[in-house]
Amino acid sequence: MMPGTAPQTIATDIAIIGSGAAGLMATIHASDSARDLDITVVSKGAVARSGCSIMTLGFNAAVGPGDSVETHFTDLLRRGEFLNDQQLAWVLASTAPEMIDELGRYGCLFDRTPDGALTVLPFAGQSVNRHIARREQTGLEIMSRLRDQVLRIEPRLLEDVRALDLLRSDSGDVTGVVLLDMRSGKPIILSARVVVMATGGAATIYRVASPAREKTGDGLAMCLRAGAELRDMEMMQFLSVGLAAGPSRISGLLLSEVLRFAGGHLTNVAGHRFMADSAPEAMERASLEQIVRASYTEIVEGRGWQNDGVLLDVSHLGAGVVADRYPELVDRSRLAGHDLTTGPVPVAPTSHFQIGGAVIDADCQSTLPGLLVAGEDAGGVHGAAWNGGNGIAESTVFGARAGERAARLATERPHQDAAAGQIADILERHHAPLTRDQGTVPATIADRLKEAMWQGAGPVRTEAGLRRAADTIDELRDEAAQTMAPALIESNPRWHEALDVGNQIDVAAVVVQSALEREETRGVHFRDDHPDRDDAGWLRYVVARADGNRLELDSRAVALDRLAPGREEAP
Amino acid sequence: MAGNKTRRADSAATPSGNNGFVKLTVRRSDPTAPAVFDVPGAEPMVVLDVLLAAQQHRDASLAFRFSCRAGRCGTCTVRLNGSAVLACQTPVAVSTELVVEPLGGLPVVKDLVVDMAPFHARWSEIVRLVEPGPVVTASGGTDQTLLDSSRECISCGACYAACPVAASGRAFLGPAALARAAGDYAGPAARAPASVMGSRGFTGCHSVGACSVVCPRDLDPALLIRSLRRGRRGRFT
Repeated sequence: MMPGTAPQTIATDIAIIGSGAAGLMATIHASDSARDLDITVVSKGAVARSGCSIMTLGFNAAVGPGDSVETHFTDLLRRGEFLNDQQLAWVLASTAPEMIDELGRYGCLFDRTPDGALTVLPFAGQSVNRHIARREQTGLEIMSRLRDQVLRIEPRLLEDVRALDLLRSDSGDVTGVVLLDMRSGKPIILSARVVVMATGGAATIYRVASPAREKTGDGLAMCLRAGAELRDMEMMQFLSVGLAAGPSRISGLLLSEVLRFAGGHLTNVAGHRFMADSAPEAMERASLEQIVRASYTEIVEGRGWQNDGVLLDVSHLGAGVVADRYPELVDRSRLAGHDLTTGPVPVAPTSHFQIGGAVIDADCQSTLPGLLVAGEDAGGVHGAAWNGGNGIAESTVFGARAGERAARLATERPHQDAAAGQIADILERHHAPLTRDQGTVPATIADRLKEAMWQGAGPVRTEAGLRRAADTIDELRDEAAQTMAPALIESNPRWHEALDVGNQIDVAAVVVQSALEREETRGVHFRDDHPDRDDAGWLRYVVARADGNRLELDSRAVALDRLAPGREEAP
Repeated sequence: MAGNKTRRADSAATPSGNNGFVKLTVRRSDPTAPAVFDVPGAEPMVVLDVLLAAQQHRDASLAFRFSCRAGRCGTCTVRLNGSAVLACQTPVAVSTELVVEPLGGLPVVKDLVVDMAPFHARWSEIVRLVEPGPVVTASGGTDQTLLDSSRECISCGACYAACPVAASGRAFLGPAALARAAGDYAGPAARAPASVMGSRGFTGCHSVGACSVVCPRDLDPALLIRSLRRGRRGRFT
């Protein structure tokens, strides 16, 4: 421990780690369940502003004409290629409609038809229109109104405070979490009856990625280090339309898949519409995974624009039409030095959504007593592929359930002491970068990690490539143990980058090992050396668990209790 | 409302003689810390890239905030050559000079990081007064621009920092919070709480309009405050 930094201790009933949609819904529902609960929300960045919920384009709920819970459920399983936890998928489909009503009660406006019914938009991967939106501002609308509601509740809001690691009792119960106030640099020991983990995945572990900077897998890494089981960690959803803007930090920001369906052309640097090679009928309207794989292949085989992206062109639709339909996307293209209205824009597959995560039950209970997990940090809902609009539905539905479960648990579970030595160990490990006179720069390690993941564990995978990525991760882990940051504790960005990259490495290692385990192709997981889906061998989900420094992998049969491949009628 | 306002940094900046570099001057909270950085130019480049390059390669302790990079989270607001911008949404041409300062009117935590607590406290005060619940919808004849102004705030604080009344240190609630109230306060104006209508609220506004000029999302809090004060909105009369 650093001298002079004796930790402050706070005792709370419920500790909620993360202030995205899942964390805020958990806060609201815990408070609604029992008003007198002491609730603490820990937010690595600005409350309600530091995750990806705010970027949401739309919310999937079966409320439109011809839609039903059964149909939404069936779409989830088809998209997820039957790897989903069917109980969780059913909870999502059946609860999403009431979430729309609930958000309305908090003041959320959604687009409606002139007669007042919710507008449901078409979206790839849905058999019925069910995408509910607030023009281009759906995520902003939802998060702004959820934040307002949380401000009415007045929980303890710890903003610009990151969580370092979970605390556990001698018997293995989660008893709280060690925090670090990023402004003051001072640690906080948050003792809690229940911890809700909702930090939002680690999609930032790839070279091109869309999420907010805070999403460095802190929650998953904490769950892993505490011994919780993670599932489906090989499943990382890429979108095809990340801005390819070289070293600029705007790289990875999303244009929209809609541009392909509107008639956009994808070409390589030679001007060839490369989808003609792998999907001559569908061309740019091929499935997302086909587009992502083909674009990725063009780029890694050297046919990309400046080795960075393929070219997406909608300018033939007419400058006026493009400017009128997609004003925000046009602005974004111009920011990258191009212009959607007049010519092609370089795009690359961008890592967007972590499908896998902690093993949970329908009430978000993880495999550790006292730890609930909700939203992108949890696994099982989406199976082997995610669809736009189901992520925000998951965060709100399961955030709410986590909050209610936490309120019940808080009445049953006492505060417990953490096992001896644990707090000192955690603080010492996390302060280490400040104590070194020389060492590696964390951003360099992060760049190499992201490159290794892109090369070896990206949209197209082979055993050899995954093993190379694993070797690089091992090297980087050693180097990350020697990072250095200036010896000051207040507002020290390099220190936090060092802590971030430690978490990113822990998560990346699980992604790679899980991807090695799954010797088939399913959903977003494409093994070039095992290109077929193997239902006979692999209707199984990969479970990872850390035992000290060793990672244990295992696979378990999916319970096909409602639907199975070939038996795809509604349950 | 359309996307973020895109102001090129070069339009406000003076060309630098140092070809291929961007000359960055930052107001540091420690006056002895390095404040001038030559950062290699690149294409494309936004103000955030320049700040990150200075932090990575020149001074690791340079502090600023950012998150989403897409103009939604409102955390990277800084003053660039005197006016508030989102660092992630402001392109930079090579061979220009940038002077970057923290937002005014708010306490500085470190370098470009300001304490948004006064802004959030006022916002919270308003949302606790405003009943949550279904409000007038777009199809109900409400002026769309007004509704947008009240709902699509990204809480970047630019308006608050630009408002001379809010910056004067008085208890004035400021443009963002009042615009929020104007959009959602469901009740007759005459019965609105004194804090909303009184000198801390609408009558405290001096109609300077700086808030609407500076808003990086092109929202119009000044118009909302003005129209609400005149009782023009159906729900307030």
